Amino acid sequence: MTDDRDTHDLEQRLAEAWRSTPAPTPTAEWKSGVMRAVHSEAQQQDASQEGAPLLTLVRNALIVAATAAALVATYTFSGVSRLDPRDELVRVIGQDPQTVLELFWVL
Amino acid sequence: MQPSPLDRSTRINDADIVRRINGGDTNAFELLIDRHGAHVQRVVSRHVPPTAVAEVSHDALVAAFLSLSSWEPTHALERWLARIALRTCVDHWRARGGPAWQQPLETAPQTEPATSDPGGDDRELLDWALAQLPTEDRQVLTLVYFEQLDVRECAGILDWGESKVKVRAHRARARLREILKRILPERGARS
Repeated sequence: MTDDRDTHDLEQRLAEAWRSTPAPTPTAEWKSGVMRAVHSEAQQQDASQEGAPLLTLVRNALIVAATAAALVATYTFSGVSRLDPRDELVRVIGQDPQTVLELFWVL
Repeated sequence: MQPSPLDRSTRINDADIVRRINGGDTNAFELLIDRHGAHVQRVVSRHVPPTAVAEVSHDALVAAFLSLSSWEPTHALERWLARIALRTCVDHWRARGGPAWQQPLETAPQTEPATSDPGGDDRELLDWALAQLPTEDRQVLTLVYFEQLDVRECAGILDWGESKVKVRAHRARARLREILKRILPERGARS
């Protein structure tokens, strides 16, 4: 029991020693170094924010162009399919073979 | 442009300063350094070797500047900065990789400090005791018990799950107590 209490006391003392670790006082040189870095970061942020609208514009233009190309391709492909007589002939033969026979007879 | 002397008074609160910085007045960050720079250095100095304190504190403050927009005025700025400082310390250790995580304890005595001064050598004894622990135990122990962070804050800093923090912190404390128990009779005999 005494052991536990002693251990606890020592633990508390060590924790206190940890928290009271002496720290260096910030120097003017260190402070100005931090401010230089901060200004540099702020300038980079500003530059990237200025470039952002142009980047968005280019990205949107690419999306519009890709969509337009996809629509044109779809339209062209469906038009080609529509013009193919073989599909239509197969459909007519399947649905109404009598008409096909009559047509063939007339010709 | 330097902040005016009036700006350096305590009448302007942290939230106002942060608002000014977020509004584009980068110079106002100097006010935060004046107020909290010493605290950041104090936190950092507990976790890295003395030679690295200035550099790590510098990096911590730059990191704080970059994420200042995420600070909520309902939380104490000093505690928020301390969390960033601790995170930067962890990054400092990680950048050195594997066993070099021992770096903060490079000055730790190899043998138990042999002195009869009951108070003066506590930090030396602590460094020695911590050096007996595995790295992860040491980290979680210092953050949870010595820095008194809550489990959630500690998990955020170490990138661990909260349950891992709880388990490791408990285990690490038990190990530290075992180490202290072993040396207690010897210290008792000395002092």
